[in-house]
Amino acid sequence: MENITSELKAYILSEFLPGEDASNLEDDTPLISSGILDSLATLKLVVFLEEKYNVKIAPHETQEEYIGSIANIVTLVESKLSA
Amino acid sequence: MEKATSIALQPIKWLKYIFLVVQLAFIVFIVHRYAIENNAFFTIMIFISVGFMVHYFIPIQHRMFSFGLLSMAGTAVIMGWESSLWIFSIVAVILLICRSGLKFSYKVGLILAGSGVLAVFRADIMPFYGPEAIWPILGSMLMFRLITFMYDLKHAKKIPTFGQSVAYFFMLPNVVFPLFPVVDFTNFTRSHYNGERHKIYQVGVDWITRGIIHLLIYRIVYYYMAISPSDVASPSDLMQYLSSNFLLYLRVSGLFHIIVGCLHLFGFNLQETHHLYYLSASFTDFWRRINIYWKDFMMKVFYYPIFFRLKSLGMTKAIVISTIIVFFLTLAFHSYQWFWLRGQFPIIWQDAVFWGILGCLVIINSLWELKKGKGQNLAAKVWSVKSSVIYSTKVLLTFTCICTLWSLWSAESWLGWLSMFKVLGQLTYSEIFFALAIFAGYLICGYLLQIWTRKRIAGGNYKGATDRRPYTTVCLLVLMSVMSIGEVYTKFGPDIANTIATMRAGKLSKLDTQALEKGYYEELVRVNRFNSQLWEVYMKKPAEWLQNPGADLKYYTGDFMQYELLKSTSSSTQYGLMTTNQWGMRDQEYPLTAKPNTLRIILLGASIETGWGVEDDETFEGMLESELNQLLSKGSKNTIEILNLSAPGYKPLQQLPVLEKAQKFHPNMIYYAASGREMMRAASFLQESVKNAVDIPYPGLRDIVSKANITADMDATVMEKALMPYREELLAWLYNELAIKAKNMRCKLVWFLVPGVEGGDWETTAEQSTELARQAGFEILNLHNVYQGYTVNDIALAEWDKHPNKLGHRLLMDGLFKEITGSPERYLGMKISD
Repeated sequence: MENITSELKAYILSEFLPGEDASNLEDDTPLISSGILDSLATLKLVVFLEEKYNVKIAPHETQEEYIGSIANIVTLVESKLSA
Repeated sequence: MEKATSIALQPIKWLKYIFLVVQLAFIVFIVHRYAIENNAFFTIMIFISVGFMVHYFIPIQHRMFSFGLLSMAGTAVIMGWESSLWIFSIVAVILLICRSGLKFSYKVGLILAGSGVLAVFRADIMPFYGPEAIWPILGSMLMFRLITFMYDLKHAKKIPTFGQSVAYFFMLPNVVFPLFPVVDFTNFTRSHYNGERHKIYQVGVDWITRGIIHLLIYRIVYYYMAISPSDVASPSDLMQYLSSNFLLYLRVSGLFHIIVGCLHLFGFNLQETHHLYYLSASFTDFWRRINIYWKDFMMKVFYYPIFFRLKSLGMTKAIVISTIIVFFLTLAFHSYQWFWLRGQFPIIWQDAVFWGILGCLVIINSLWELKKGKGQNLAAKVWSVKSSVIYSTKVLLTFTCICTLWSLWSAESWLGWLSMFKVLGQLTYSEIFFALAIFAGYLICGYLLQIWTRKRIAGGNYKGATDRRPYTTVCLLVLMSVMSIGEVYTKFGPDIANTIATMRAGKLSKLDTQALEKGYYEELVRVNRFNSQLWEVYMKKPAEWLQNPGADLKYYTGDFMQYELLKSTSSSTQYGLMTTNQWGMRDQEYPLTAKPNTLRIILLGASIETGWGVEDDETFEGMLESELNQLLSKGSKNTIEILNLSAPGYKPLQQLPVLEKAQKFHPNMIYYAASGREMMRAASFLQESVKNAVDIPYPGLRDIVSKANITADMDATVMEKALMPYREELLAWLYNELAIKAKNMRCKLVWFLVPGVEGGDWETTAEQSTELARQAGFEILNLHNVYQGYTVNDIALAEWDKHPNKLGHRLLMDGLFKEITGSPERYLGMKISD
């Protein structure tokens, strides 16, 4: 789990928050309501998750409930991996 | 679970509660004083405030359901029992289908079939025996909410509760706002009391206040800034035209703020519907900031599912195709929404051009962002002069492009829109220098603002209910309340007093009033823009308003007069009989030649004089004739006949051939009834005549046409603009021609202005017309204060029809009778008694 978290954090920082201090991005930082994940970023993230973890994300899983924070994304990926 | 428990245990805080109630009391007062929206909104705002006061004490587990019940009660209060029972029954059937144990595809099939049946009724393909008033509200409740509800139902881990479903579909204050944001069902239920409740309530109050401010600013734009394309005569007019069109959108953002603010009062901690959209720095940014709920709805239900299906084509292709489909659907949904609200499905080139261009711009911008990234960060941004200048310039360019695009969306014609830009050729060096100075000032202000806020305004970084103190809201509420009091705002001088008086008036602007008047006789009025308030007025208008199916009263003459009323016709309207005599007058029968000792008056007028909306014996003309004869019968052998040659829709120039026709009746007097916008209406008729290649039999008119250089192949806006400088000359020519003809007929001419049922710009233009009539030699009869002491609701036929009603006609008759009998020699050319 920690592995996924750190990989995700690194990806988000490099792709969507270049130059941002890593300590500002926490596991529960809101990603959608804060504007970090807009529609394009969401699509990029989905492609990243599918390729990196070999999981299939459904369209309705692009909502806040599933990808609203790093913690939510980790839960989503883990549930897919364990299924 | 822990969170839910902590929320359930949120204690009652009396001070905060009282503070919220006091703010709501201010809001209700302001809504009343500034006539925000309509009377129904005032009622519902009281309803919501009282509802909130009770809701606060309801245990959390019952709050959703109680909100649903309150929303249903609100619907019943506003719509009445019959309409609300129809709405409740239809929604209940839909909910039964949604919540049944059927397979999802069967549910979708049934819902689609049911919607099809409703659409057949809405389109009047089959008669609907219930009240028509339910359609806009029912449509508003279901047209998008049902789509998102079904989508969430498909993917939900558990079926929503009955209380959630009821609360979602009836959602207060939907019953008074048919144009309603597309609230997402998941967000609606998940946001319910997901934070400290007093903070959620306070955000609600803040947003209602903000919404009211948007609406008040909108009114200033609506009344003072909005101009028509034909008014654009200089570069500054062009700027005013372009910006005012876009600024009129403040009405939508204002209403949406109020709506979502009201939902916060019942614990729905929803996000903003609009976020500083005038400060968008790119087209994608604009799409994300304006009507956020719409964007989210389209993303969730269409964009992501389409993208996921296409992503095997590659990221770029999938994004481009998905975006094109989303913008096409947005275009189609605009007409779909219009269908449910108005019963028509407009397909308009302006919509296609607007959404097409915006879609292309968003695609280009998206691909750019995909390649370069947005460049954002979490901490408060430190602005350098360079970054500030770049950002501010981007904001200004985006604003300018959107204004231009928006104006094209609102334009009547492509050529008319293009013709406005010719004024840019008139730019002088001093104007360019002035514009550059304003731009420099804007950059400096932008930089100072950015330093002051120390945070990004580019990212839409709203975080929900915040800890900020509500002092600003309280100050604004107190200020607006105090400034709504006449004794206070009149102390600030006439300019401020007039501006506030305007802000307090919830009436139609000059442009919309003109469009409304035009719409009495023309079906082609473009009220398909949510920017204009007129669509709401028309939404309330019954489809068969004053129509006589199969019995059109007009007889087309094929000459300059164009039409007259059919002879010896009687048709039934909802106001009673409309009967014409053997000469095609809405009047009693008269012989061709008057009997001895008869003073014969010819009345020249339009719809009011014809008696549009009143019965045969309720027209002011008929009543006046009868009253005058009654008076004469007491001491004179004379009688009076008033021959009413008016017809609905007549414009000033048409009165010339009418007067020529009237010669055969050998009148003694001509009474000319003028309307408020004589010059504009005269020019408009000449323009129509040229456009329709009607033969113009008057050399004077042909001369004006030639001077204005207008031809049939020209665009309407261009013609209107070309005729503008000749309007006064045109009316002066008409009045002089009428005077010459009257002199030849040995008739005396009386001119009177029939005042509008409410104040407006017609009062200013009326002064010019009066002066021209006086110069031409008319006797002027003043009816100026005839409606004094009555409100527009007392004397107008309806909100969508400002013709005087029965009382209005009675008042007009009283006014005319008083003036005529006060100076009979002047207005009748004789004494009343022998």
